[in-house]
Amino acid sequence: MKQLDANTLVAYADGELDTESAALVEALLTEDAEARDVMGKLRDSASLIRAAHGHVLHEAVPDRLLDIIDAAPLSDEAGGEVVPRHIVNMILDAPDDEIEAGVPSLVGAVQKTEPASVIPMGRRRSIAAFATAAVFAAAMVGGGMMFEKYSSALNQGGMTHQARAVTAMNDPWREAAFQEALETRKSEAAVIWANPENGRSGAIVPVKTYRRDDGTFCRAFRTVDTGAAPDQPNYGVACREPGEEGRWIRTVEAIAAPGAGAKLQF
Amino acid sequence: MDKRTKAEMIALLPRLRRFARGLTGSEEEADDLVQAACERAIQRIGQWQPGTRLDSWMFRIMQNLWIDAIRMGKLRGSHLSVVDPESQQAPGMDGEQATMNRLTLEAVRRGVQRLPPDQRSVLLLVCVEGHSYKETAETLGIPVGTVMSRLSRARLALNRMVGGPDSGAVAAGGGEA
Repeated sequence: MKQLDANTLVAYADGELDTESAALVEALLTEDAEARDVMGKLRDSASLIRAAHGHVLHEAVPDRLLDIIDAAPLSDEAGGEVVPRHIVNMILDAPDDEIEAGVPSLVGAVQKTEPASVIPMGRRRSIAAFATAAVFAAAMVGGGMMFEKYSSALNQGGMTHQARAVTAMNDPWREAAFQEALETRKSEAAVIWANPENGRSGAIVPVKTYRRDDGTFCRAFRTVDTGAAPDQPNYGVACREPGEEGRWIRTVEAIAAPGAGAKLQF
Repeated sequence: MDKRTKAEMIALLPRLRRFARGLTGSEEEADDLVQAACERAIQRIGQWQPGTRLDSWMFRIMQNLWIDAIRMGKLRGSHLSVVDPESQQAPGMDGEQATMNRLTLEAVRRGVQRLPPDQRSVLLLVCVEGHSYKETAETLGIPVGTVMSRLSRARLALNRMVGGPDSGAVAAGGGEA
């Protein structure tokens, strides 16, 4: 018992010793009954200390504590929701005819040359946070981004879910919420809408604001829609184009495609 | 503060309460401490580095607030804990065994409250929260060697208090490492 100090014995009991030091302690334990006794007590006391405080975990947390955190202001900084600037630039810099053609080259460029530029699921915070209703889960797909022209998604038609997507995306309540969100909400603040006539609902969240070189304001945004079809865009960029009476015009919309490791945080 | 951090903070509340209870030994003071720690964390959220452990950062805030309160005389720094005996009784345990267990756990809590504050926080972080020595050192802003010496003194003192024949009569001594 005298050969090793108390710090070493305690550290051994806690599994904090390196192999060499642990071997010294083990050698001592085999030959010294007193050391074994101390070690046993140290281990027992560790369990006891833990057990003596465990009940607190099972108590209800007082509302006053929950309220404080609930009331904390949300930051305006876009945090993990920032659309990588180079992706935004690629979209904006693309010639119009390329966008009209459904931006296939952009899709290729993003996927081939910028594999690291995808927005990981774990960063898609604001969407995940308010999408508590199960119906929103359908929109929470994927880590990879795939760009697709807004109108091409609408015009392919034929399949039922696409037909439904067309109507959902043209919903006047949704459009009003869209304009309101981009015009009046700070980044990460959602406008949640519900159309009482058809039961559709969703949310629009601006996630990043920037100014184009010509001075036009643009905002990246995310959308969540109840019962959204898998190919319904849920992400995009809109700009307050001159000559549109202050309306926000979608420059491009995109789909967050299903990807490996996608997981809901909430 | 973003929504995910908010959710993480809410999820941490039970553990923050447990740590605070171990520090103060009193439910009311513990929740006041948790409240103060949350308020400060929210106020200074910009100082927290996303990607690092939120729990360690909040434990540290709480520990600092607690030490400050003791130094300013707002807290006694030692309490005898009051715990509902019912909550300690495991189902299916016979009465005598349950009583013994309850008394033992109560003795442990009393012992923890007799430890000097510096030893108490190290002990709680390592033995109750399960943090490594290194994490504990980082949380408290002290060297690992200090964690080890505080911890061993706390553990040995606690063993004497709980297990020794003079259980309940021994006050833990202890200077600083």
